[in-house]
Amino acid sequence: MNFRISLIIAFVIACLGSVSAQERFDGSFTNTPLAEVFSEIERQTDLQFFYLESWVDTLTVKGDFDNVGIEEILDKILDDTRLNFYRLGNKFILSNNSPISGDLPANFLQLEQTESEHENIGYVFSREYQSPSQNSEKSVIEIGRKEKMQLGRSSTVAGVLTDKATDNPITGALVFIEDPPTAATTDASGFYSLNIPNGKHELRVQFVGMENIIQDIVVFSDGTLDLRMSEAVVSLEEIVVVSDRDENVNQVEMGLNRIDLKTVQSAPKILGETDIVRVATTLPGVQTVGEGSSGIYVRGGGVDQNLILLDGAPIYNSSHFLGFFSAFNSDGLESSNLYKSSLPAKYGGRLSSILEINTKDGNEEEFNATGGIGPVTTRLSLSTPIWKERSSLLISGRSTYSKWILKKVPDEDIKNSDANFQDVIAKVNFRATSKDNISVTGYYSRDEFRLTNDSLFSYQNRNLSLNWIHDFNASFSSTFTLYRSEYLYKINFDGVPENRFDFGYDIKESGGKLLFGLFLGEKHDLEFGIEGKQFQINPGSISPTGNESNVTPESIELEKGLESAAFISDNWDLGPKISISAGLRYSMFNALGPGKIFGYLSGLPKSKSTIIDTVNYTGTGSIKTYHGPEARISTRFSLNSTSSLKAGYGNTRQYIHLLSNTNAVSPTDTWKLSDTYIQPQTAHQFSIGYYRNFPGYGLETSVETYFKSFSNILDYKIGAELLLNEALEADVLSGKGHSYGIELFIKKRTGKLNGWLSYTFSRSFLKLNSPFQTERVNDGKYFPTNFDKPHNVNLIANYKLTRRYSFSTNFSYSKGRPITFPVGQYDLRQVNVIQYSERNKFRIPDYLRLDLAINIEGNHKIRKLAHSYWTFSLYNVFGRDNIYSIYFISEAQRLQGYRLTVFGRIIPSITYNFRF
Amino acid sequence: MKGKVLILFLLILGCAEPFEPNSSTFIQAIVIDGLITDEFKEHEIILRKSSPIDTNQFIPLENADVKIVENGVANFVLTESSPGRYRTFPFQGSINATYQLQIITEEGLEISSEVVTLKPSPSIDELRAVFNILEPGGIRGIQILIDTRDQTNTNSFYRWEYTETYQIVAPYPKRFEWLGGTELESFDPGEFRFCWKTTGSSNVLIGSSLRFGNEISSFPIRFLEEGSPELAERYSIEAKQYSLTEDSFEFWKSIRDIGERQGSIYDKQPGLVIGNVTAANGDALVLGYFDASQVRTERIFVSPVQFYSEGLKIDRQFLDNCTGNLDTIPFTDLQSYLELFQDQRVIAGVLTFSGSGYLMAPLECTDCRFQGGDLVKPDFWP
Repeated sequence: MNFRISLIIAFVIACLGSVSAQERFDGSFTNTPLAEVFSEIERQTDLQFFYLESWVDTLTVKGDFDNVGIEEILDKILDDTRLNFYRLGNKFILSNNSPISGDLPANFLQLEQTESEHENIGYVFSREYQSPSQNSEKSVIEIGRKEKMQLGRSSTVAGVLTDKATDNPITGALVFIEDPPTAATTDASGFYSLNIPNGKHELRVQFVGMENIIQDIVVFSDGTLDLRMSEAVVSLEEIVVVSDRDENVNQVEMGLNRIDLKTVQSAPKILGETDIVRVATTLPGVQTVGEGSSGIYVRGGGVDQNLILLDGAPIYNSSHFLGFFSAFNSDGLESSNLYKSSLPAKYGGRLSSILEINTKDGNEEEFNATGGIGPVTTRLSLSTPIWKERSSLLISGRSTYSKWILKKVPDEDIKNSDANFQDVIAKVNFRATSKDNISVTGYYSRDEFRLTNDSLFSYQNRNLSLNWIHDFNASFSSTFTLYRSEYLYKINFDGVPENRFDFGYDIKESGGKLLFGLFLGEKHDLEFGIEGKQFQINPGSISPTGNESNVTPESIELEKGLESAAFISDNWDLGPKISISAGLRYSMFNALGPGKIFGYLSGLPKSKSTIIDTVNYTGTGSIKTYHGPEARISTRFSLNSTSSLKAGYGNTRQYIHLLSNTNAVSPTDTWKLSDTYIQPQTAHQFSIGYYRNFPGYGLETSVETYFKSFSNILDYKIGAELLLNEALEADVLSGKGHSYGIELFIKKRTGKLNGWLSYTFSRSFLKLNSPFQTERVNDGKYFPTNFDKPHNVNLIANYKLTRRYSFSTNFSYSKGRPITFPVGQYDLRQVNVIQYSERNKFRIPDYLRLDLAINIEGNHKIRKLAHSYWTFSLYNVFGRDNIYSIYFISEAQRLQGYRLTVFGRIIPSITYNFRF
Repeated sequence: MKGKVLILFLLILGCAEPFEPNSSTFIQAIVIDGLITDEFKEHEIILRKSSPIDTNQFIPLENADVKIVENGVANFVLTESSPGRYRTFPFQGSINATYQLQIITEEGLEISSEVVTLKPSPSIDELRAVFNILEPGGIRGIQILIDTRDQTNTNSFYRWEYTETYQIVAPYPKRFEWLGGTELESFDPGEFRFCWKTTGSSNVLIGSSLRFGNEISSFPIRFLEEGSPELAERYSIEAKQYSLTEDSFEFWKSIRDIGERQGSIYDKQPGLVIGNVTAANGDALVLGYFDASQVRTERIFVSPVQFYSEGLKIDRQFLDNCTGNLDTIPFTDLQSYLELFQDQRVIAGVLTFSGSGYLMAPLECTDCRFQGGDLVKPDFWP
């Protein structure tokens, strides 16, 4: 078809004839509209101009012309415009960016025979790229100056993607062309940049909840293209996950999963709460130790090896209700990314994963509200413009509102207990200029419970972060982040008056990061910057309460530390087949004074009784310094447009440790900095993956394998006391670990049925060896970690039945986690003592669970006061008694075993949601 | 405390059911149990092997050579008085002297303990009983508390043991035993009326005064629930107080923690608790503890009557049961009655008023030994 059109045009041009004699014209113009100038020329001469009004309505002419040739005038006044002219007799035909040639191409005859040859003539005709059915004027957008076009070269197309309704930038949308496969994701200011071959392309833009954009473009040279998306009205009815189609095949990164909030919201809920962390645990390579446990274990890494960032600020406790619910109200969230390997060089400080959670921007156009009521909490989000089209405010809060769950329990003690939690996200967004986007996010969460009459327990997260994105130009941008993160907990014991006390722990982290992004031509995409974090930990303080209390006030000395890093990474396109992403991060940690360091008798295990001296550092300088490089490399080799192979290596360093000698994370676990005795944790990871998409079925598949090794992993002596322990190093063991696995992942993004299925085989081991028996576990041999669950199957599926009804399901199977089991018993001073096996020698039974949910929408009028929908969830449909834990208690001189199940029956729940 | 709070939470939505562990994976260890005190007595070291998880039995380690080295020089050789139990000649441990246990088993395994110092212990300030309502649950009863203060500020870690004795009274003591035909053997009314039952503590009772100004106040060592047999008549408790080093305190705390696991995933990691005894050769697993301490004792008597005014209620159920099950039978029906009840009934008396006959009562109401008591009155009982 191109061939035919070009032939016709060539024929028309061939018939146009030769150029007429020059005409002369006098005139003087001061900002006169171009159309008027043409009229004046037409009045003075018998020349005629042919053009479209819309081409010239913004153009004006300034200057004095005295008997000047018409063509000279036109050359002059059209010089700075996109217009060209062609003279045909006494008719001037204007063209918009398409110089018309009256000469036949030198190889005109050849052109007739080979359709592709037209690209060699030096001119391109936009119409030739138009399909006959799309003949509206705007269906092809031209980018750059046609004259500057160099065939066979590539150009950079950049621009900003905004929401048509709110003018807010859209972050994380995929902008791509299919041939050759080239894609970019919009950044936080909606900016994207693509390097694509000159010529005709079909540019596509996809983002969840928005209408896809399919735009024909012709690229002549570097240029800008701003795009606007409209909200998809049908997004209510269909859960379409299309934002990053083909990304898994094309991106260089491995082990990256995006978690879409729509999927989170439609997944079956437990007690009505949407939970982003719970959905993350259905991804391959992510484990938990059991029901009601918030901690995640990524590829054999411990729970403290995950960095959870909310708009750039780390969150230290990501759960409510002791782990039953995640600490984030999903109404305030926009998107989430989980990096399991190929951690970007800009992130550091944790070994195993980065869970990046981004909050929503408020609506800059109009006020709106969303909310919901579930069995446990009620939620409300308000969004309002502060400065129309420039700035907005979002506040999203959640609170428990009843104690009915507690009241349902037949036990009197629990009935009289009390537990409540709240969280709120507030965000101000301000687009100061078209190049500056500033946002400030505040986050606060609070839990409080009194389950026994004598102690009140509470914990809080407090976070504040500032993000300022500045685009210097289309290829150079910066992001500046400042944050403060605090986590604290308190125990208030008000039992026996003599023993009443308050106990408190807190950690405060302040940090800043300056990140630059630089596109260097079509081959390189650089990121570099610096980062600094300052920590201050109060490891524990106890003080008496009330006059009768004889508790001695005591506090462990504050811990202070400084972590700093510089990083650089490059996404390097070595050609259409190979891309490399290479990064280097150099991090340093200083444990800062003042501080007290115990000296221990050498040749003996460290214990309270082998302390021989104490060194007091009074200054605020560095007591101990650790530093080292961290390399992050991954490569992609495209096999064809739908499949690729990737390989990666990364090493990571971590200077902060979660002290926990329980099986799962508990809110009373404390974070500790590296010090003289406690060295940084380090890890190395190698991974290889194969990625294949089946576009016809909307399927993405991948197989990834990895091997990871760890050093300086902390563990604890049996019965170690971690609170108010000045000589913690005497209770701590340090060991090596390794893990490996293979992860299979199938994801269906589009269609009535969508979701994912994953299978993971993985193992993880730890070795705690020492010359001293008391510091050895399992005789210094490798043993499985608490979260070593070799087989894992997870399915998340949504099925859209009609516009109003959709179903979702979640299936989960895993091998039981390892436990330490009693193998004998004996009496010691009349006390019956359990003799335990080697660590983690046995396993609890396998875990199996199926959940179902149905979402029912209200009616589908677009304009109505409030949209609402209901969600009915059934958790654990089989009512299976999944064993949570097995434990033993010595009762009356004999050993009694117990099996504990949690949610060992169907848990139904109803949630009502609205927005207006 | 933490574990308790968290388990309550789990119980809201979960449930724990008992099951019988199987013993197929039994691993036998050698267990050493020894304590030297400043009491003048034959000190006993117990050598045993651990038993499978389904049965708790005493498996002695016999024919070992056992000795205790005092201050690195004097050797006390122990003799096996009964299987697995090895005794010294009577001696009194000296305060601040050091002791080490050295064992060579029949198989040639050499086991030795760390060198321990016999720590002094401050005397018990007060052992007292108070009426208390335990929260949560509102369980009423008598709480036995211990107070200790170390004036020298040298000791912060304590372990306690107790021995408790309570009196058992048979409300309708046996007066006659039928020997067949018309022959009856008669007994003194007091002969089977009073018994005493003595038991010892079987849980780990340890305390630290480290953060409490070297003062232990109101440490609860025993709770007697309202209506328990201990509170039916008179009760006495003797507490023994030992001093611990910080290391031995941590050992006992580990023993306590693994025994009190609550089953939540927030429990401390359980594991094998290694003591201060090790084998120099071979790869046998050796567990247990050897230590030395001064002993302080204190005894109190508790009469439930003294707490009636504070609200303690006496449990009359046993007495009412006995009274309600009394039978009165004519003298002539004795034989057929006793044949019918087959040794379940005993002649508790002879009735001579309002028509004469025998007063028959259930066995447990007529002889205090049926409630686990011993007829011998302890020396300390007033």
